[in-house]
Parts: sequence; C-alpha cells; structure tokens
Amino acid sequence: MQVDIDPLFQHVRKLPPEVSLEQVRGYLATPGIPAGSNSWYHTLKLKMMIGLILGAAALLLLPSQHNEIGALEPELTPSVKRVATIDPISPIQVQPLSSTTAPTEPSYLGPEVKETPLMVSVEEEKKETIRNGEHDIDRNENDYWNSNPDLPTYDGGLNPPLCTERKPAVTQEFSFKINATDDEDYIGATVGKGREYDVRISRNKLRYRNDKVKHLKLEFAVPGCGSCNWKKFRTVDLKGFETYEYGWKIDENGNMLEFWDRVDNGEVSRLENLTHCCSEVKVRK
Amino acid sequence: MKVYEPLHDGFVRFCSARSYGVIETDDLVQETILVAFEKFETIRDKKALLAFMMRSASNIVASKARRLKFRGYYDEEAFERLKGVAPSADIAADIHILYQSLRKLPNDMREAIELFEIVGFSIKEIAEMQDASESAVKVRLHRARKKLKEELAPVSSLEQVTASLAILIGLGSLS
Repeated sequence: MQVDIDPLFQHVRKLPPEVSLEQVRGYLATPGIPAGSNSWYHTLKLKMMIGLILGAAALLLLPSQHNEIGALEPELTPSVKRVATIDPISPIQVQPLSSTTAPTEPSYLGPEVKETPLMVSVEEEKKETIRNGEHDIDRNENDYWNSNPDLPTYDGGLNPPLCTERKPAVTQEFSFKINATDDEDYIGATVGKGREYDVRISRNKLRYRNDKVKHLKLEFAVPGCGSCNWKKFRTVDLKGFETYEYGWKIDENGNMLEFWDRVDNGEVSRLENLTHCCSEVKVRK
Repeated sequence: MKVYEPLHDGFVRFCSARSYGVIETDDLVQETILVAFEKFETIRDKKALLAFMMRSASNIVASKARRLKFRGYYDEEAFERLKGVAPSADIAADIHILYQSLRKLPNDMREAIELFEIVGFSIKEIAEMQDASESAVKVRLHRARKKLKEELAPVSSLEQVTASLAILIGLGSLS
C-alpha cells in the first residue's frame, strides 16, 4: 500500500514556527552578550593581537647585550648595590625629673637604618680561568677564533707579530682551535691535513684516541693586552706518543712567564720561547 | 539580525524537525543562534549563514542524541508540544510519525529531504550546502522518500489475516 508523504510535509510547512523572532531577539539581549553587532568585540581582539605581535617584535629587535666577540670578552654588567648603613646607637636621652610632662617620644629609638641612595657601579666581570699551569677548556674558548676573524695570524716563523702597546695582560688564555662535541671533554681536533680526530682533553692533557695521528697542529692564543691578540701554530710530532701535556706560568699581572709542553714519556721535549710584547716566556730546562 | 530575519522561519522549521524527541526546539534555536552570533565575524559569505546555522544545529542535536542513546528519546513530551502547535490531533500524530521516521534515515538523506521539503531549498542550493552534485541530491531525495514510504506504510489487516492463515495451513499439512 502506497503512502503519500507529500501531505505530511505540507502539514509540517504549515506549522507556525515554535520560536518567534521576538524570542530570538530576547536571546541576544541576554546579559553578557553584547546586543547588536559584536564587531567591536572582534576589533578589540584584533587590536590586542596586533599589540602582542608588535610587542614581541620589538623585544626581538632590541639591541643585544652581547658583543660580537662572544663570551670571551668581558661583559659589562651594571650591578646595583643597595648599601645600608647603621648609625651607632643613639644615647638615651634622660628627661629631667622635674618635668611633669611625659616624654612624647620614646627616649630610645634604636639603631637608625638609613638607606643611601642607589649606587650604581659598573664592574667588569673578569673571567679568570687561569690557574698556574692549568686551564679548563670550555666551548667559549673554542669559539674565540671563530668570532675573531681579523686576528693577526702567525705563520709559524721566527718573528711573531709584535705589539707596540705595552700594558699588562688582563687574562692569559690558551685556546685550542678544536671543535667541541656534545661531551665537554671529548673534543675533536683538527689534526694533520684537515682531518678530524678525536682528542680527549682533561685539564692540560690531551689524549689521542687514534695512534695513527702523526702531526697535530695546535693553535693557541694569548689574548693578552687586547690589542695584540696573536695566535701561534704549534706543531707537535705525535709519532709514538699518545699524550701531550702543556702548561704555563704567569706572574701576578697575568704576564706569561713560562710555557711548557711534553709528550707522554714524561720528558719535556719541546720548550719554546714565546716572546711577546706583553709576556715573556722563559725557557725551562 | 537583519541578515537573520528572512531566514528565521525556515530555520525554526528545520530545528523543529531536527530536535524532535532530542532537545526542545527553542533550546536548539537559542544555542545555535548564540554560536552563529559568536562566529558571525568569521563567516565570510553572509549568504551562507543559514547553512552555517543548520550545520551547527545538526551538530548540537547529534551531540545531544549521543547522550540520549542510553536514556531514550523524549517522544511523549515532544508529541504533547506538537499537539499544542498543530491544528488537530490527527495532524499532530501524522507529523509525529513523520519525525520519528525521519530520525531513522541516514544523515545525508535526512538533511536533504528536510532542506527540500520542510525548509524549501532548491536542489541546487542543497547541493551547495552538502558539497555534492545535484544528481547526488536527487538520488538522496528519491531514496529518502522511498524509505519514508516504507516506514509509514501500514500493514493492512487483510494481509495480516492472509499471512497467518498461510502459516496455519502449512502447519496442518505437516502434521
């Protein structure tokens, strides 16, 4: 038996709407919902978004506090000190007995704490990594050469570049041009003709994992007076040796007095006079 | 409201059909309108407002229906409300059966026939809303009508008597 469904739909279409237009207006007039168009709300949201984006961009574009040289250069960090001075205890003020009126103020006020105005002092944080004959190699040292492309180079000859300006060295650091890996003391060094070998450095000892290495080109720098930074290539014959030790002595002004190195037989095999404008290395025999 | 006003009648009829036994129509209309109001600025083509609202209403009903799976539909309450709106009790009963039958249809078919028969959209408009071809909409309408007719077809008493007699005769011959 066929059923005609069209009349059913006609009935549905003829039904009055269960919700009137006035009711809908009432929904939108509910407190908490802005009546009418809510474009102002979206405009506000848009403005806030733009403000946030511009603020983030401004923060990114602020001049960096770091200089270009990198972590080896001392950072000038203004430190603010709040100095508190305590006055000595003020003497007890004795009221005369004849006085009938009670003292209006306590006779003893205790130590007065006065705050001096903020004193801003700029202190240079010196990076003192030098110990006598030892130094720790960190990654910042490795970045030293990369961040100083204009440093004068020493070709290994007899006459290193000299500086005309003599002033005491601030820091004496040796920096081996080595590529740090993830492990701090497990470092790959440029060895031979640009080949990479693994070198383990502990304190002032280098241990080579690969005994096939014959020549190690070490680069170290003495960024002494700041104006005569130089680097010296030091070639060590590693044939038959696996450990290379080095060390130095510096005086109280930071001038290098002595540099020494030796290979693993314990015998000082190479001493070099590292004459420099700022430091003089004495040959130890 | 200026955009919404001409769409009001069709939208409420759609909501009445969709919400039957699941949620009260005015609740559905209110929830849908609030959603549309919040998202109004993001609707690029204001002509698509009705389609957007219908889609929102369908989603709301679907989420409510999922929760009702284990509790049953409010058909009696809905029928009582329908009787208050319909011109007569017979027509209310017919519409009640129609709504129940619509609920059994697959969603695409149900949406197509509701939009075509109840709201009054053309096949082309429905095709745009459903992101389908016109022929696909026609097929959906055809199948929906067919299924509705099957659902609504009463089993005549004569057919019932004939069927039961056949069963009895079969049993007697076996014994």
